[in-house]
Amino acid sequence: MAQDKNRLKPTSLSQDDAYHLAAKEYGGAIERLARGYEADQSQVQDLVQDIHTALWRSFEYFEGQCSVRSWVYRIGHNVAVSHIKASRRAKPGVLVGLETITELPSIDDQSKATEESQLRSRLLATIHRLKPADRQVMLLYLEELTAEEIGDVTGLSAGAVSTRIHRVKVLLAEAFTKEGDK
Amino acid sequence: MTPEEATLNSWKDDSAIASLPPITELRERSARFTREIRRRNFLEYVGGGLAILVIAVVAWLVPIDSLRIGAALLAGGVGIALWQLRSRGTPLSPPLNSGQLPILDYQRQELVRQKDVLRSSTIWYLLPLIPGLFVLLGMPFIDPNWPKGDDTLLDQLVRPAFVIVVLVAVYRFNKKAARKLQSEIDEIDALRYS
Repeated sequence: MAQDKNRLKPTSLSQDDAYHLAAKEYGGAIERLARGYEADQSQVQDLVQDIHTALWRSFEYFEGQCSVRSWVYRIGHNVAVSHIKASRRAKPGVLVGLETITELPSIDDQSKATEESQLRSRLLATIHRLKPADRQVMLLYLEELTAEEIGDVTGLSAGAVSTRIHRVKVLLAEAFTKEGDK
Repeated sequence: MTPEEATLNSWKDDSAIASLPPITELRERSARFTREIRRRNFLEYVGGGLAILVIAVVAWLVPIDSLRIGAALLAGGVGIALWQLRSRGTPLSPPLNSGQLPILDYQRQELVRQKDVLRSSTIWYLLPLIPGLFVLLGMPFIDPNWPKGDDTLLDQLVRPAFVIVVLVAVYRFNKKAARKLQSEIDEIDALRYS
């Protein structure tokens, strides 16, 4: 069913209606995407608003060139990459590739956090350290896009996508194994 | 539950998702963005226009033919550089272009555009200024009617030398920036074809 929605070509819908449908379906994903790019909480909502604004405007030009899902993720990630480039010019730091991260970092203040929010925090801390392409694959993988869809959104080759997904899976399995050992 | 399933559940089970922004707010934000771009463009034109105006006023006030010719050439050069900056400097628009292209293709196209602008800047940015600068700075040497005043030969040489140093610095800076962009493009190509 979700697949049918993704194949929808809302050319008959108005710009506002097409945006509204997409935003309702992917609002949560857009928010998570923004948190994956922006560590500063005060900036997250600003980025979310920027993505929604670009998305709303983009539906003036959407004619079913790709699935709505790919369209939304492409716009979301492109706006986020531009946003992060601008903020990194002000505050440069070192980003790393998935191959150099061996485990999810532990979060200090975990006393009150639930197990799930702890895992989310650790995931976010890892994502924030990643280079753009690795970050995009990890975020899209967490949103349960298939390898083919990830390739369609990112433009990475099939080989590059599968290598990165494999690394993400190893990283997550590792984190659970260590949790279990404690 | 496998580690993978647990992670995906944890990632998506987020109760802190804010409500969607109203469309009126998006319209306003978009209009603000457009106004900001227009304001920036306007300031760019005003800056260029002022430069041309100052050159024209100087040419009008100083009754030396060679200076007037040099000023007219320089004003024309500034005009050409401004026009080229506008026509070559328009970046891709996220709403218009970014949904149609995969992320890497979009980023690559934008980097290629920026690199081409920088790489060709000698032709469209520096070259149009050269004839005017050449006439203005060379006047003491080529125009017998040029009032020498208290200028020594050294003074007359220092001015063109300074302008040449600035032009060479701009040229080298642009080439260096273009090389940096090319290395980012190469990184993207390595990702796309690996």
